Amino acid sequence: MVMDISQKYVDMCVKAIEVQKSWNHEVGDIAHTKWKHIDGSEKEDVTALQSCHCYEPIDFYNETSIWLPRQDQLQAMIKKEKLDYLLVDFKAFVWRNQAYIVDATMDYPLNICDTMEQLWLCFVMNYNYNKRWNGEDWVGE
Amino acid sequence: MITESGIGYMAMCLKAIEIQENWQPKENDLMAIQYMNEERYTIIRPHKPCSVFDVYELQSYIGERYHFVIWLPRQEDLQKIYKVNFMPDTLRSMLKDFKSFVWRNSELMSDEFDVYPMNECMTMEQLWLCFIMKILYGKIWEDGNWIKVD
Repeated sequence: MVMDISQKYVDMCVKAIEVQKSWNHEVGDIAHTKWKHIDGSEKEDVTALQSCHCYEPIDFYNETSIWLPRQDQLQAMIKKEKLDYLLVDFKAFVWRNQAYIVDATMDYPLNICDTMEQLWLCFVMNYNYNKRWNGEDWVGE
Repeated sequence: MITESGIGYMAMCLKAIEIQENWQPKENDLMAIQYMNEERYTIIRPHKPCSVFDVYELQSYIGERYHFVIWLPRQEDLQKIYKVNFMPDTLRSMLKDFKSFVWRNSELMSDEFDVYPMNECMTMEQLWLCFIMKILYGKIWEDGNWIKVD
C-alpha cells in the first residue's frame, strides 16, 4: 500500500476521536482492523473496505476498526471553496514558525511528522479542533 | 477532490505519457476507463460499490472489454514517484521542493495564484502532477498539453 500505514499514523488516527466519529464507512476506505482468530489469537491488518464488508458482523465497524484517511479525505475535512485558500492556510500552518525557530518544539508540525498523511492529519486537528499531537495524544493548543 | 474536477485531471493524466507508461496497476488504483465502442470515459472510484478492481482482471480486460484505461494517480502515488527518483531524507526536504515549485517567491511569503502552476490547478492531485512533470520531465501544462520547457 502506497499511503502511510505505519504504527505511528495508526496511533495518531486512533486518538483522533473527532475524525473517527466522522467516518462514513465507504468502500475503498483504508482501515486498520483487529479481529480474533479462530485459535483465539488477536490478528491485525490494514485493508481497503470492500462491498462485502457491509455484511460483516457489527464489530467490524466498532473499536476493532480504525479509519486511516487518505490525504484527499483529510483535505476534504477542511471546508474551503478553492484550492488557493486551502494552500494558504496549509502553508501558514506548516511553516508558520520557520523564520524564528529557537528550539525544536517551535518546529511543529514538521518536527513530529514523517509523512504527508501525518502532516495533513495534524493540520485537520489543528484547524478544526485546535489540537496538536504531542507524540502520544491530541491535546488542546 | 478528484471527483470535482475529474475531467481536468483526467486530461492531464491522459497526456502525461511518462506517468502512464510507468504505471504498475495495483488494487484500489483510481482509473478512467473507456469501454469498447464508447467515446466517453467512466471514472472508476474504489469507494463506490462494484468497482474494487482486481489487477489481473483489469489487465485481462484491456483490449477485450476496455478500449483505453487511464491511471489517475492519487497524491500518495505521485509522492512515491518523487521519493523513488529523488530519495529525500525527510518529509521536510520533499516539502521544500514542492513549496519552491508552488511558491517560487516563497521567501517573500507571497501567494501567487495567478501564475503557473496555481493558475492551472484546482486540486491537490493536479498540483502534485504538475510538480512531478516539471521536476522529472521538464514539462508544464499549457493549453491542454504538456510542453517541454527545459
